[in-house]
Amino acid sequence: MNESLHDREQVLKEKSLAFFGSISASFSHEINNIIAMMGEMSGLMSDYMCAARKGRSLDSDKIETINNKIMQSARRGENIIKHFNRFAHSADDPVKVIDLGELLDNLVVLSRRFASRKEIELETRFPQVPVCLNTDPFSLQHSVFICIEAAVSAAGEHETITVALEKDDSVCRITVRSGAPFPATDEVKERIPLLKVIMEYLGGRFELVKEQDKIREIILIIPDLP
Amino acid sequence: MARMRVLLVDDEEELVSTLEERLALRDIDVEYVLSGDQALNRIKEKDYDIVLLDVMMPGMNGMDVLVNIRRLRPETQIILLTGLSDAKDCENSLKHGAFDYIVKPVRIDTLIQKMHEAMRCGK
Repeated sequence: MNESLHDREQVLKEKSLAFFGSISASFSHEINNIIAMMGEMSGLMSDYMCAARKGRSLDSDKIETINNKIMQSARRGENIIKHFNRFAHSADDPVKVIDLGELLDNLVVLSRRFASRKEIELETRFPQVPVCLNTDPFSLQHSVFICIEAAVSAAGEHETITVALEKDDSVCRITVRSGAPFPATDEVKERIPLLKVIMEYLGGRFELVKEQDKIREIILIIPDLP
Repeated sequence: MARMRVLLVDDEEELVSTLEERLALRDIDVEYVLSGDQALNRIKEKDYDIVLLDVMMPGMNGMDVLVNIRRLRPETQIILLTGLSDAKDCENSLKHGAFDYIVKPVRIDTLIQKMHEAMRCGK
């Protein structure tokens, strides 16, 4: 095997695992928060029950409110687990036909936690009709996540970053766009070589759309594999 | 005996409001805010015995808030709440003047015990 090809494959393997780790860590953190919340609410309910056993009147409305909040937290947990489960299964097949809107929507949901640390909003802009593509779903998500991470790292607080999708003929374009252009910081620059490796692996390419030395958009151009 | 004055700082409102209610039921004088900026504004206005501070928050993170509280109110004891089991971050917080840290989910008895220890240490 060609040495540089072997090196690229090794880099891709290591970085793919790191990407899976980032998403898993964020997911487990989120689930831990929900468990903490449910634990506190359940504890509060026990506090009121304990007080009632000592003769204090039990406010049934209060208990119902706490119970509703526990149910809301459970639904929030179910929703996050559903998204993470879809993400985990995206690594099942090396190449398959995917609904890109569905795949990217899922990724954006899982990426919101990273963006929210800087109070950055993540939005999606997808066509009404499903956009299907035959590609490697895991590596495609990895490439989009790199763009989101780069934009989030360099964009200002309270910025909005949009992930947009369009397809013509056999090529799909995924655009990660910041409301205001962001500087090409070291954090952005250090992600570019890996993005290049992944795009080559996917048979595609990327473009940086600049505006006065700053980056406005990162466009991923990905082919429909035969 | 004076009631313990506690400020809770966490961006998860459901969590922090529930914890506030549970501590209030245990006769603790407790208030909460949802961000580091709000915490610093409140601490400038009012004196607390203890601040329970979430490490991972949007905007100003817990570590930055910790350093600023130490500057504003060196006598206030700070206990960090973390969802991470990252010992390195937490050990670092102790170097910056936190009394201790607790990993979420929090056991209320453990939390209260830790708060009493912090109070004794502050006196």
